[in-house]
Amino acid sequence: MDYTIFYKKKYENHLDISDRDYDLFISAYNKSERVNEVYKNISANEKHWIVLPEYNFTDVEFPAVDDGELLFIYTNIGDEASVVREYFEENSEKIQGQNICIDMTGFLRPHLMFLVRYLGLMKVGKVDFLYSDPDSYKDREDTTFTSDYIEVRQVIGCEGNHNPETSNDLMIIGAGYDAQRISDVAKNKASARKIQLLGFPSLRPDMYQENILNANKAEEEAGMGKEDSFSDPSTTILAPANDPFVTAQLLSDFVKKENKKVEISNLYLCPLSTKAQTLGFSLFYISECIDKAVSMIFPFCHNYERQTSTGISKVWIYTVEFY
Amino acid sequence: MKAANPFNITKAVDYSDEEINKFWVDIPGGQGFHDIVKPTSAMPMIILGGKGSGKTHIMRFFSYSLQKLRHKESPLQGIIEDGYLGVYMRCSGLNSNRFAGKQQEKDTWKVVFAYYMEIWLTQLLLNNVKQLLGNCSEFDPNIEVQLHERISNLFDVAPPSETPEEKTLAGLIKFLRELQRKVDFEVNNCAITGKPIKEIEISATSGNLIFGIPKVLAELIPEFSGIKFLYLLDELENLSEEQQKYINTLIREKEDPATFRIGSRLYGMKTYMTFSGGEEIKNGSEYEMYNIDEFFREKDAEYKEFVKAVCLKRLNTNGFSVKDATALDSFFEKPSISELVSKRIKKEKRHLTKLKGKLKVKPKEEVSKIISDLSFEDPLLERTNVFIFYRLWKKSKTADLLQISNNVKEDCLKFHNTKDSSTEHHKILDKYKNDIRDQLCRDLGLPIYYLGLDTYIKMSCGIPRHLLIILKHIYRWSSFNGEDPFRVGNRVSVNSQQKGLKEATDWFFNDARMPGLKGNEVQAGLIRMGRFLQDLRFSDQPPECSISSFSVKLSVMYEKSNLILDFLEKYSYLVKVSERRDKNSNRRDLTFQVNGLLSPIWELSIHRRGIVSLSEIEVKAIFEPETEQEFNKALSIRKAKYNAPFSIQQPGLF
Repeated sequence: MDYTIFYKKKYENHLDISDRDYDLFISAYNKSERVNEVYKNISANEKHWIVLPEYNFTDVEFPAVDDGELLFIYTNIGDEASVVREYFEENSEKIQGQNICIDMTGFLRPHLMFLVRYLGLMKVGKVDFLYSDPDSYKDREDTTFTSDYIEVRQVIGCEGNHNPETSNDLMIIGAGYDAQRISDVAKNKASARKIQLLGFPSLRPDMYQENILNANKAEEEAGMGKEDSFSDPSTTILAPANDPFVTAQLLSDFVKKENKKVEISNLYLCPLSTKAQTLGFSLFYISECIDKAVSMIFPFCHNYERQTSTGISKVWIYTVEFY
Repeated sequence: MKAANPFNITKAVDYSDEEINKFWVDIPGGQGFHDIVKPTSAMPMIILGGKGSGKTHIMRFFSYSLQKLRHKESPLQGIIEDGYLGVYMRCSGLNSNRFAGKQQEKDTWKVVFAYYMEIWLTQLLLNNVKQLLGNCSEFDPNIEVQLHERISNLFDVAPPSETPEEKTLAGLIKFLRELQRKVDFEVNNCAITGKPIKEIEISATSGNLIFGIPKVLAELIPEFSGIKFLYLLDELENLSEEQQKYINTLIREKEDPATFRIGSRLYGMKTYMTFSGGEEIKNGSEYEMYNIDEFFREKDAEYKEFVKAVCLKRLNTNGFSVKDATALDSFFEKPSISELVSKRIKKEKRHLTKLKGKLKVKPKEEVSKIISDLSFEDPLLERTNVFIFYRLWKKSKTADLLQISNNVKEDCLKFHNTKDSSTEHHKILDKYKNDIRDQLCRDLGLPIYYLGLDTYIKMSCGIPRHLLIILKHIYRWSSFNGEDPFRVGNRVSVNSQQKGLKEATDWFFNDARMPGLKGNEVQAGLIRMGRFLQDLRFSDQPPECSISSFSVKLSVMYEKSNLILDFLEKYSYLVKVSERRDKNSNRRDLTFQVNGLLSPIWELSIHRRGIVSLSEIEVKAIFEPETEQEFNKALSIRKAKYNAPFSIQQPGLF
């Protein structure tokens, strides 16, 4: 499969996205400027906010909605599947065959992974995924994204058919800024060989260095006992931070190459980097990994920061077809 | 070309089977780990150890993958000589979290997990046997057909056997894989659809395959009679309490010739309960327990010899040439205290400035005389003078400080000139030398120095990985600083040692976090404990020498403190030194030492001599304070006792 043939479009100015017109626009609410600005400026017959319980918003903090808007509040902290499934079951007639755009910027990664899996199963047709780049992260490389770690587990719907033989297990980590979480997943599959997928080119020039600084903090667990593992192509994949299709393609190529050398006994995919790359991991998963010894895993936490970035840089539209 | 860091790999999982064999170092005495694991014994064993204790290394050593490497010439003969066949399984590979929740009944998961384990473990066993049969010409060519027939009878729903290919071990493995795939499909899809699991047909009763197949093998293959089939289940901490009950039930109901060796972190054993009438498995009669950390900590000399041998092997297999383990310490720079402080001492003597501040109510002339009496050319002796001065001040009822300083001066001169063992200086230096040295460094704004291999071995507290991580970072810094470490005539600088150690310490502090909300409370308690000990150690007159340990007498009413202390111990932040239980009062008398690798954070000693005794109020203030102020108050009260002018503050005064 050639993922790079999918359509993508870049907007240098987020106000320009008003040229697009959708039947339905779906976004996960948080406090980031980039999430709220896009929601305000995009043109759609209907706009839906999904309020994820993990952000811990209280009633008074919920966004106000006008006519043609819907606030879908899911208060039970359950799992990533329940909230997505319930939203789509309640709104199924508005989705099938419609012109839909989903802003994935505010979605939590496991929800996004399940969402892609679910849309694939539902064969919903063409969907635009939107992602807006930040100007910078709030405290640069020291930005806190998550706290109160609970456990690493497979993402629902992305649990594979695994192999008891574990001698050539491989884990590909989309290494983002959250070093502690990289460490957590690496420890959970301690015996797997670790490959780090880094965002290069990064969203902004300085972000690559910040990314490396953080990935390096997790070196003891994820570094495979190698010096300079980030410059070693056998342990690192470089994929554009804002291109899900190239990310999916590079994952596909890398896995094929590895399987040619010695067959991978179990493969674990863990996107902790940008949402665009998370989408890339998910597309690779639903296209090539279902029913194989491959799982998407994630380090789940109690708290996810509601605002981790400042400003809004570019906006991207990625068109995915689920047939 | 720059040599590769010989300490880069710090965990067994990063080693291939060949490397495990190549880098294997046994503990000194007898048959080493073989005597501990006793692989031919029918008695199951639970092997506990902190992260980095070497569990995985040991368990993999006894697996079939390594047995066949050790017996390349004749694997079968090797297995017969070994007397066991090791079936190694990592519990993390099961991804066991998915056998819970998803709106399914608890009982459903109990059945599904037990069935899944049966299929999983059996595949591993049969894979090993298939490899062994394939590698040996000694076997009857029809043996696989016979095995297939007998093993098929162990299933409730028999495997297909219509074609010759299916009447093989490969056919059985394929059948098991298909059964597993069906379970995976149901388990994975129930959360997507939100519907209950219905379609799983249980094809084998729990235990029938795990225990039945070894029996069949022993009956049909004469070479296997008398061989133990050793299920090595590693990383048990990855299983939930309910899932561990199933493992415990297998241990209880085990049938010869199968047996178990279970590897788990200290915090990993969540229960000893079984599904057999809600009873626990019994230590001593149903299983043996072996704690690697305790073993290494109790056998100090053996541990030292063992880890030095590990270092030596690492160095020599990486192109270094170190002949003797005793020479290892000589590769580290270890300057004397005088050398370390020589530059700084000329600038400022903060211990004297601080003392002046404490004497400010006294007349100027008196203060000058005291300072003059205590001043001495040798910085360590000068700091000792101040230490003894505080000590006598605390003891003195009249507080004639001029007389005290004069006595200290005379004692110092006598000690300096004669090294007389009856002097106070001799006695104090004998007991407090390390503390006075560290106080001097701190007064001069220098770091506390932790230098030399023997120090790092001590700091590793019986956890080999901790030592390797320290050495990995030190090697990196040394190499970066152009010191070409571990070559004859070269020494790793103080700077490289300090920087490398700091990185190792930071790693451990951040790594051993306990998951969940409780993890934050546990870590906050540890930080307060460290601060408490640090402030006492660097008080004018510390209550004990070489502070790094504390004791508590804790009644059950302090449930949270009890829990936090247990967690800190299980995550190896604290090392339990002793435990006594008072049956009448249901009170626990516990002594802990802060893990040596954390000592640099709070500038603590790495030795365990003096033990700070904590009251229940202090324990509560440290581990379960309602506010941070409660802790600060408890600390202030305690500090007032040990700092000049040694007035005991009453709680109401602040």
